[in-house]
Amino acid sequence: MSKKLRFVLNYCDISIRLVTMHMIWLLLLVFGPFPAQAGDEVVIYSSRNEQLIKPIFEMFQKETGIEVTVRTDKAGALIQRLISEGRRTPADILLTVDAGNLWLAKSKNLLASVDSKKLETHIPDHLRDPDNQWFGFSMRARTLVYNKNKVSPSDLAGYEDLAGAAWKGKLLLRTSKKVYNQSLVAMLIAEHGEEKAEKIVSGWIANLAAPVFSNDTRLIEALASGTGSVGIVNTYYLGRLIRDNPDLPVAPYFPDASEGGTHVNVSGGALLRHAKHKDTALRLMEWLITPKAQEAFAKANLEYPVRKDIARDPIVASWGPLVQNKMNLDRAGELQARAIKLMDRVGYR
Amino acid sequence: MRHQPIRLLTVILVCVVTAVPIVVVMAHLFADGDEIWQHLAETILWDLIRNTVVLLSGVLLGTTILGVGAAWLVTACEIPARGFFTWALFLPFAFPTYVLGYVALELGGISGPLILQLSRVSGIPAAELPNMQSAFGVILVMSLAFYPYVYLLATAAFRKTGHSGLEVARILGHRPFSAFFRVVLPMARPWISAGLLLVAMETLADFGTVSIFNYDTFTTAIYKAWYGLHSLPAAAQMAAFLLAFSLVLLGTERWARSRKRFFDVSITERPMRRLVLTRFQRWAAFTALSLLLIAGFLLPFVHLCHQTIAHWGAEHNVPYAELVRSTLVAGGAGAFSVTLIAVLLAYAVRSRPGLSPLTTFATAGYALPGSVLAVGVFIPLAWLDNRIYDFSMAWFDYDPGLLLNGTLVTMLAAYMVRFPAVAYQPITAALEKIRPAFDECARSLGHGGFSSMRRIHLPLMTPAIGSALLLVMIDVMKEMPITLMTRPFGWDTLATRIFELTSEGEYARAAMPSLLLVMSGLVPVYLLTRLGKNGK
Repeated sequence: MSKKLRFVLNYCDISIRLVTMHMIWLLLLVFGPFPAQAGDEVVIYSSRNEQLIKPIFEMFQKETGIEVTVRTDKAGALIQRLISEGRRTPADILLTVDAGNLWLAKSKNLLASVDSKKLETHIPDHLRDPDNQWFGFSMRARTLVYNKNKVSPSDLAGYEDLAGAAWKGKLLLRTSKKVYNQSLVAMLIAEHGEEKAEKIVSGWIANLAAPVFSNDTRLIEALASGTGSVGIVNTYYLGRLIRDNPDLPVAPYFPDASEGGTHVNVSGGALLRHAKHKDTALRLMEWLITPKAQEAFAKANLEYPVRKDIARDPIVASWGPLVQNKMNLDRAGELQARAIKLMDRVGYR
Repeated sequence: MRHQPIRLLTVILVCVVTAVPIVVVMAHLFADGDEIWQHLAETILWDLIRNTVVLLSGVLLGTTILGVGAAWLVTACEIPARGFFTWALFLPFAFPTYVLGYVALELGGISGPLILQLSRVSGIPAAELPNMQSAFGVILVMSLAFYPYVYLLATAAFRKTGHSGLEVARILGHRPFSAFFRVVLPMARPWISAGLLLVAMETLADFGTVSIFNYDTFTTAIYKAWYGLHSLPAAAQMAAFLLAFSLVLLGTERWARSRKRFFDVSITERPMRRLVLTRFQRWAAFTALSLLLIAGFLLPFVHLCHQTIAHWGAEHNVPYAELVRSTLVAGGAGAFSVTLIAVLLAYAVRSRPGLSPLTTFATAGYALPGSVLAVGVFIPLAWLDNRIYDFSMAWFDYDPGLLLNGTLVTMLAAYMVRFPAVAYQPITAALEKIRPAFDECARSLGHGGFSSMRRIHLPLMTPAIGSALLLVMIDVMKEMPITLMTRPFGWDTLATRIFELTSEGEYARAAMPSLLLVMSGLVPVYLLTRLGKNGK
């Protein structure tokens, strides 16, 4: 056998082995885990916690026979994905938290306007897009929480007041990198203008009792264990902790109308412009606003239903009435970048 | 070497494919992102750079002390339970850094039981006590999570070269301490620096852990520009900056290594004559290693078990067997593909040192934050998919569906860009020790390149390839952002499950998938330690 031939055979031998091994892997992977799909379906890109929404989609599936497929990822990554997939995206609905994310999807021209009487009647104006491109399905309040052993509710007077000297060394905040705080500061900008908002936020920073936290749960735990006396969080984090420990010495305070109302945001959804199953997608969106779904959607995470005629979870109901700040959430998205820069300027980390 | 064109072509092809995402990211360098840069420069940029430098140097110092120190104690000193420590000290590698970080904050954060207890005893308010949410905390957690890279390579190096170096130094009248610093350590340097290089790149790329600690680095700014300020160009520009920095690191290491070539003096290793320590030294060493093991593995492991039991009711219905399976399959497939690439690259460089810069580029992906890299993979594949569609519609009027996007091809491609560095290090280290004389002998006996590779290299390389496979497998299993972004529909792994739970603050419930992830990781970790033993 010539040297050359032997070399070629050797080369083939090794490469064939490697390739075969690789192919086996791939075949296993590609054909292994996927169930065949048939019939009506709707595909959702979601940044929401899967175990919160899954039971709700299962209800929908059982009721209508429509198959619901969900892909979970971070909101930013999903939006980037939708941009690069373009008109060939398999997704029908984008489901995410915070109007800032929905606004971004809208501004990237990814969403379709929806003409639906049902959605329009049941969802208040400020919780949906002015052009009906996205809708809030549950509402979340970002409000003040205080340690009951240290503060009485009569000492509190809204977000702006927390910048005052009375709260020096007593305030707890979460990181400015969380979109919830960006939307809150955006609201302050919308209410007071950038200059005054900057003063308020820098007042907050001067009052901090501890470095900013990376999540609300940790903040509430610190508050309960005696660090600081007041903080700003989303109420469902507090609700979860109270559900586990009813004696938690922390209570929420909701700024009333004279204090500008409580900052609310949504977890919401939108029909995608390039959706392949527009009818079933719309059906799902309208179903999400039915009383049954609203109750489940809000209860699953101790949020507020967007419909007024739905009972709240007992824990949420025990906190009393909520006066909302009625700024349209579209504004929050618009002002988000300015809010981030403002927070960078005053050293809110 | 007449057959090089084929090999050369393969290698160049591989390099090009792995380099595409990096080029896609780099291409944004020229897009318009000025305004955001200006904002950052005026506000937080210098803090970010300082934080990043502090973190990087802290973690490098920490992993050197922990990794090299532990490796030296278990290979060269007579200490109690030496055999046990040899493999047990590698266990922390099964912990994803973000899980370790979460546990550290849970126990040692401002409202953690450790701090509250300390505050009760000392009477100092918890807010005034030092706690884990600090630069020290992040550095400690990352050092504990990353030291196994250094430990693994340093033990191998000490086993190979330690005894002869030590003996020579002792004969020349050096005390063990000075012998270690003057002879053994310099001889082990290529291995140790290879480990440190991985540590450095992983530290630069990390987003999950630093964000748990709210410690702002260059990487968090990338995410701020992308997710907050909605500027992918600005984010990509910052990522390109990070990439350039890691290319410099990689280049420096390769250069330093190429100046000295290290060949093994003996293939058969003699058992090492270990240093006999005094009673005090023995137990001090024992205590130090036990503490390391407790902090890096036992404490967090027990804590996760505890949390899992506490939240059993909420989590036990989730089909975790499925998740474990897909985690292992993703890990295995990723490991296989990545190692294949690394072997190809390593051989290419061996036969043509001129190719070295190309491979430097191909292994730089390890320093890119996962999500940024995933976007780099995603954009060209989505583009390709759309072109295939256009072509197919125009010529056959047939919709082929999404061929690449959302299939495992995308996921594996992303892994193949991210992880070659991990596999490349052990493989080149082993390859460097096969003396060129072997190849020459084989060739003069009439064996061509591949025949000599199979008959001589493969047996010598098996342990290195094995450890490359296992290292990558563990890394892929722990990887979160790329898996999240590129996985096919329904392809949930333990890491994506952890993301889903933690994305809305359900940290306690994430204990169960975390625990399962650590336990799945223990399988390859165990195999890896066995491999080390057999190689002895």
